[in-house]
Amino acid sequence: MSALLQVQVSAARLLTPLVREFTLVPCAGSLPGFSSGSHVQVHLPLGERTLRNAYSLTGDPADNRHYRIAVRLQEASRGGSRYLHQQVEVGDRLTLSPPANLFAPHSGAQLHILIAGGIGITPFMAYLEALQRRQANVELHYLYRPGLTDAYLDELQERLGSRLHRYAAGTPCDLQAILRDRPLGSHVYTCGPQRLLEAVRETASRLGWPASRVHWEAFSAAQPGQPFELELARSGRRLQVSAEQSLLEALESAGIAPPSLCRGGVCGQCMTRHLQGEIEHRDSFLSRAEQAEFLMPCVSRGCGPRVLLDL
Amino acid sequence: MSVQFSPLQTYREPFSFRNSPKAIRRFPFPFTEDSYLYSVNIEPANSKDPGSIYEHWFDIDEHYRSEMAERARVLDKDPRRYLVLAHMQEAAWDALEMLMHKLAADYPQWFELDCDGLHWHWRNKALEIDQRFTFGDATTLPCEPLEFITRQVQGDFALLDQRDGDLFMDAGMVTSPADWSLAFDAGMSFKQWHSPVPMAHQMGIFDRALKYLLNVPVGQPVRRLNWTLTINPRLDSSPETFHEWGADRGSVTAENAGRLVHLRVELQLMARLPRSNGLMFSIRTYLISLDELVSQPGWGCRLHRVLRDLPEPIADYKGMTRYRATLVQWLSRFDPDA
Amino acid sequence: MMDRPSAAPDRLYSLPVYREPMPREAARRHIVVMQSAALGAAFVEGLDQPLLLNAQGRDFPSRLTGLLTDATVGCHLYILGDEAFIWLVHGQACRAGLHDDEIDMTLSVPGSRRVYCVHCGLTQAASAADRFNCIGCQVQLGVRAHFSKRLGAYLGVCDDADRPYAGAGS
Repeated sequence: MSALLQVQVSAARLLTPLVREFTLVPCAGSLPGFSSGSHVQVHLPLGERTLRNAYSLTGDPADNRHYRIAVRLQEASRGGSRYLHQQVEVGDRLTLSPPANLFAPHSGAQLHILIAGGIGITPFMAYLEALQRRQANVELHYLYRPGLTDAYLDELQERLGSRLHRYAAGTPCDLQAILRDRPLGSHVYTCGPQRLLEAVRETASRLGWPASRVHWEAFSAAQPGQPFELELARSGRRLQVSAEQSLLEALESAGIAPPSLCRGGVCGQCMTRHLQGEIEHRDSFLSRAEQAEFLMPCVSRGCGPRVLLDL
Repeated sequence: MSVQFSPLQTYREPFSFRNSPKAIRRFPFPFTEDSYLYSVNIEPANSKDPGSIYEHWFDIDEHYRSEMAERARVLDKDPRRYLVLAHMQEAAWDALEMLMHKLAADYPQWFELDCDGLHWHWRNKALEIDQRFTFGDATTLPCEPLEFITRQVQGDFALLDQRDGDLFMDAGMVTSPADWSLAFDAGMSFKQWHSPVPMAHQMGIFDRALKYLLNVPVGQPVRRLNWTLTINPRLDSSPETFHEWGADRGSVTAENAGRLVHLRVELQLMARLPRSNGLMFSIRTYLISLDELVSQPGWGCRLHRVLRDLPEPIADYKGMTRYRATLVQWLSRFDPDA
Repeated sequence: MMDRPSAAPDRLYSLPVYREPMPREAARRHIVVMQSAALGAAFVEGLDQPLLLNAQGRDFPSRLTGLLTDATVGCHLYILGDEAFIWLVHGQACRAGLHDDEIDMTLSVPGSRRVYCVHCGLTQAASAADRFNCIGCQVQLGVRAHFSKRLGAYLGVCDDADRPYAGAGS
């Protein structure tokens, strides 16, 4: 991936104590257009290393004067969201990777059923702009903790009226009722915590929904692990991967990384061949057989002292 | 760089089409080796070689007016060459936006675009078009957006819908195909519409190409070259009119081969459509007669070797079976080893 | 384009795939549409509460429309008949919102198919013959191994450009 974008924070506001929304404008020229469901990778300089976190673009795709992202402060974070909440101010500059879309609305859908958990609402904010412009049928199911992870709730209530179904924490969300007896041509999209995604997928499958009608985006990211040494077979270079650093980030800091898109082990873009060393696979893309030969450096790591990669 | 247009020429009887010396030098001779083999020859569409066909995303050359007149003629006779499935109107506006911005930026002496919010003003001085319209509202244009803009740009266009991990040919303007029908192929997936291509499927060409194309990002198009042969400078070598021109393949002789046989090269550009997430496939066709081609050093020799050694299924698919022997014989005089 | 049918590759991706009918375990509802009552009887018996529709019954078109309108996600459609029948039903099912992977097709009656004449745009009924004259424009068409699901038809192109109308008027 090339052609990084330089942007400036033109506005920042807390939507809730846990969710901070940023408005980003280009430093020069104009921003590339984007489709609903797209995300950008925000480059976060944390002292010695640069993290890249992926955030959905929440704004109207028809308006590319600025990008909007909403960041949830993650408790068990490697520092990225904390940096964005506590260090970044209006006027600051950030580097972004250009938009990529792994979660686009399906053009054949006659009804789009959106199920959002907490910060998972963000890609759907852009969806609603595009789908309403197309006059598509939409219904939104929003699971949230009031006052904490209910970003955009009032705006959504006003826009959607009875098409918005609210589930404040404590209100049961009956996925079976949502997915049962839906008209032909329906598609379901879900975004939010892993357990919500699993529940939706499992319920859909049990009700006979084919996988082609079920779409999901996980906000997964690299988790820390034990440090290990990285050797690159083709150049002979050796790197140290620290506990807090992903394998991909270590490669990027050395200038030799494969391209990436999702940063969360689901899209397959950064797939790399490993030659030696014990690997802890944390991705959701490769089959077991494939993992014997390949790994996803964005989330997976070595769990022994050393890993040799075919790079 | 300023482009000058030739006087109007025809791509059908009496076939007055000719290349100027500049156009001949500029022609994208596609062979880098003495033999031809399928490959995933996709590369980033970076601007290179100012003045060449690679300088801009959409190349306007001396044949612009002739080609646009030819497109209008084809559509008059056969409106089926333009098709937009219902869900592709957003992609069509994406395409109009991309083409207008690019043309106005790259050829400012011919095209101007002023945007005031959704109120756009487009001027095409080459075709004397002055159009004010509301972006997104087709009632403010004389015809649908994709038809409106592609009647003003050289080359065929297919708009692909990206879904289900695949690409679907769901819209297009195709008046200069090398033997394929939009009306028939519309709605097909990537491998389905490539069904007729021999040998390439087993080589995994289309699997790799599809993966590459699914990940083309906004603002970073890719391109490749494709080639075939055509008898006479006939742009509209479509299946729709095959019963009218197919017999031309039997008319090639040693005496007329240089005049009749044309190398046909397609510069294909694949660009992400930003808002719809679709993919635009631009197919820009360049024609050159053999007489013109052999005026360039080395081209006659290389073409001789490529056509002499081309595997038969590929030669059949490219439609040259009837005249291949005559053609190879005619080219042999340019090959010192022949 | 071929002056004669080309050496076919191993798999032709556009050609339709037909199979012996087999129940899709993951589906919640099975809908079977057959061209005549006799087709698929054994298969139907093995299904749990299937919805059945027989084209020889009364009001088939409106009953098919009603069935598709009332159907919900989680159903699987099985079509049994000749090629022309299969693709007419397939087209209607897709317009109602079904995907390819929710539809199985069994070619119970070989011989009758549809061909799209690329010259005049007419989709017409045809036999299994490789060559025939288009009823719209009289061009003698060769039927290609290239199929459009959207049209439910094979591609028909002028078979011999030296004699485009050979066989016409006979």
